[in-house]
Amino acid sequence: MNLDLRWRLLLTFALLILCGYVVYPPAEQIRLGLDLKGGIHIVMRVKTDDAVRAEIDLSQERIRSALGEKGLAPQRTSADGTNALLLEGIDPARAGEVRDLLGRQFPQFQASAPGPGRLRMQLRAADESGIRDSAVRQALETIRNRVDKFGVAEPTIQRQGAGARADRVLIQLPGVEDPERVKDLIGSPAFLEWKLVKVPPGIVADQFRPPDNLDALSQMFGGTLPEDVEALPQDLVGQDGKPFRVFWPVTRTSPITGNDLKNARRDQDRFGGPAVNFLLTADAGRRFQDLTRQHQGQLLAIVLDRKIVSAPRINAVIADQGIIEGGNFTLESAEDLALKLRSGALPAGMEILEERTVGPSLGADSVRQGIVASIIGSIIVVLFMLVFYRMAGSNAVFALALNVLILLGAMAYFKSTLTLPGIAGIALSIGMSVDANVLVFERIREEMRNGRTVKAAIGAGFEKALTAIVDGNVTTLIPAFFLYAKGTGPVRGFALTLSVGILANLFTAVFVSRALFDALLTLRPRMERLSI
Amino acid sequence: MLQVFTHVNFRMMYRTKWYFLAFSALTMVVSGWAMATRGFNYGIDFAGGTAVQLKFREAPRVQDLRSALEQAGLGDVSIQKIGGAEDNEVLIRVEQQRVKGAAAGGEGGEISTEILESLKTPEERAAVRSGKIDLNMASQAALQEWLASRLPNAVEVAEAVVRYRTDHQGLLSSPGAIASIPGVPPEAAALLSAESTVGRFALRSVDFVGPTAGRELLHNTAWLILLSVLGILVYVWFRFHKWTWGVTAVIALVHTVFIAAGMISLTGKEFSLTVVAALLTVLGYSINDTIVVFDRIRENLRLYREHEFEEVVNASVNQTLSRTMLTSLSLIFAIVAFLMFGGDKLNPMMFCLLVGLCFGTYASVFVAAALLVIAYRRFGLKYVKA
Repeated sequence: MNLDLRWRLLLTFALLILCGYVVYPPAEQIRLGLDLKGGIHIVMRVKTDDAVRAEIDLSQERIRSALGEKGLAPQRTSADGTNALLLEGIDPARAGEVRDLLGRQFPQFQASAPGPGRLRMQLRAADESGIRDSAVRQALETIRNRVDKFGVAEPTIQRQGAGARADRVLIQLPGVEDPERVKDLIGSPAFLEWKLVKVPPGIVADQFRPPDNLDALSQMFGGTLPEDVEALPQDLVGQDGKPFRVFWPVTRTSPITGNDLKNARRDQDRFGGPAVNFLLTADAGRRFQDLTRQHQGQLLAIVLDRKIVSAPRINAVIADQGIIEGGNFTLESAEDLALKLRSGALPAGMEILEERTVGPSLGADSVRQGIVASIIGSIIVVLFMLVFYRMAGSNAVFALALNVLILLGAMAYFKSTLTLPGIAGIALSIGMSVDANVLVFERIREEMRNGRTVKAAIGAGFEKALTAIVDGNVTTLIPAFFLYAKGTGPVRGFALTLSVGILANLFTAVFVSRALFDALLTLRPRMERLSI
Repeated sequence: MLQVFTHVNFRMMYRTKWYFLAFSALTMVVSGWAMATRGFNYGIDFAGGTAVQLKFREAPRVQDLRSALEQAGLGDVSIQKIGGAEDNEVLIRVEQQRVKGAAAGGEGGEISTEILESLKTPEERAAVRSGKIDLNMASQAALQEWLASRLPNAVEVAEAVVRYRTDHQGLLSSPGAIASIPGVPPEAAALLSAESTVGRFALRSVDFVGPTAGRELLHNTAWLILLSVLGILVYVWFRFHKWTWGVTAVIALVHTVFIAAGMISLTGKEFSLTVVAALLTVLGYSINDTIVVFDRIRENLRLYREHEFEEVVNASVNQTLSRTMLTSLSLIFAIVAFLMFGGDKLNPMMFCLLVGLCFGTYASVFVAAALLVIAYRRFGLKYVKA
């Protein structure tokens, strides 16, 4: 046995051992995709417009008060589109002064004058994209927080997309099986506010019953709601089990919000039903104390995501601890609300673009079916090769087995994810790997028919088949490459196993199979007939 | 020595080629007609909407399901039985995007909740409202939470129940099954029998694709196919230097992919992302097959310069026939195994691969090589050594 051949066999053997070592035990080493393991895959879009609008609202207040201090207040301010403010009724004589002041104090805006006494303040592009970007980052952080507290093993939470689509968030939770709960948990903003109820004039707080439509509510105030009051809905369920909605008049400002929370946990109300207990920060606790002292006997509305949860009467001074009850809580929803409050509010609403949930039982079925189909396919291919090529066929079968082992080894080593189409990709690459061997064997047969010795025929066979093998593999790789680069989800897994399978195939068919033939020739140098 | 086609010399490149070309043209017309009139049965990936796969304890009546869903105002609903008759599985698909006024976490994706709610029987709903837990719908986490206040060993019991359920296709077939779950002690089984329900279905999977995501995917897919075809064109051009060879190879390729797509349309199989992957694979495989044939033609042209072009092509096709058949057969074995045992999910993909491989193999000989012969006759070209 010559030195060169010895090295080649040694390398093959080492590769066999290495891949076997990396793959073993396969149940632990091969990462299964969500379609096989079961779990939830969600792509969400952060509605960054919300964050921009919130910034505009905030600036509106600040601009108003800044101008008010200097006696320059415009008659009307309003939002203009998502990213601009319109100031109207500015004293024309002092318009320059207004512009100066705004330019100094609010550099993030670009001012233009669409008409006399009017000023349009547009958020600068850089600032706007900064706001959007930080909204996405904050959302990502909050979701990560919530998922961590929910306790999911190996979650994937990452930002996706580029440019205008950089507002995507991908969330993958393996092994989680109740999509409804998860969607609520990660998708609802959970912005909590406390607002005083402004009872209409002439009604005692205890006797106030909120009406079921907005018109009736404004009638109570004599036609229009006061400037500092807004109407928010509460969803209730009647005695007959039918849902209905009422509207409460509450203050526009919120003295205390979810940002003031220090902690929240599930608790029980007076009747032993589920409720959420909260703890405020020291500073907010003092404010809460003042508020409840000043407004004893009035109603205090608890507002979650712009909907009233409940509006209990303030019976005593409350400091930093309290309870949220009466929201039709179940054990689960109380637990989840507490979790959301602990992890902070989302800066903007979320929109679900894509959701895929696979139950663990379906995943297990898929794995079983995929493996059974692959094994049956492989057995047929192996028998086929042995029947057609006899001894040389066993050479091909060895190359094929090594091929699969290398493929699995690469998957395990690079921690790639195996999906159901990925299993199909493996089966397909088994079928295709035969191709290279067939090309070589057919050439060897031809050369032998043309009267060459075994040794010469093997050499010529490998040499002449090489271009066709390379061509075949490259052309199959081209679409697989694009599919991997641009594809999504399980299909990417297919492209991956197919590509890696093809590369492994190239190696085994050209290098390993040749080494085996050469080894055979060394053992029996005077071989006159080859079983092929 | 077992061989296919050892010393064959079928006369494929002479008059017969016209019959095969006519057959190809006819198949392409049928495919084109199918795609133009029937279009594709787009899967959720592309069409958007919601698909929910449920497994029932007893064979569900499609009519009942439909009326329950219609009552819930879900509009255009398609209900399809999947798997074998005894599997009791259905796939419910709703195209509608959003239920007005529905409350859920984020926007979008509320439909699946609506579907599940509307299919529960009044008794099941009442049971859940009274604090009972549905053992077929509850997740392990929810079950564990529910058990925690009632039993000391909640973790083990929840795990045992869920493991049993997963092994039984996600479903407890009857309330009586609780007692037979291994790993659940008698007192836990008694508690579960008394205070839980066994819903009439279990959730196997949910897919929701919003309208934007579907559109983007379609756009992305078009790019994918275009890029792959361009990549292959560049490679073929680079390998053969002659435009006639490149063009005939690509015509064969387009023919194959066109027919594969046409058969998907004709059979009404779901056109999903995996079918796109199959089409791309067919693209790669059939050009590979054509190149092997062309390679041999080129080699033989150098060897037998004095022979007629048809003769050389015909000999080359015959020489590679054995290899072509063996490779295709082994691939077809792998695919048929998946078609038979691989489950429903990959069925359209495997079908597309099967059609594509058969036609791809056929096209290398009867389209690519045949067109090459015609081109050389028509344009009177001579092969010049590259």
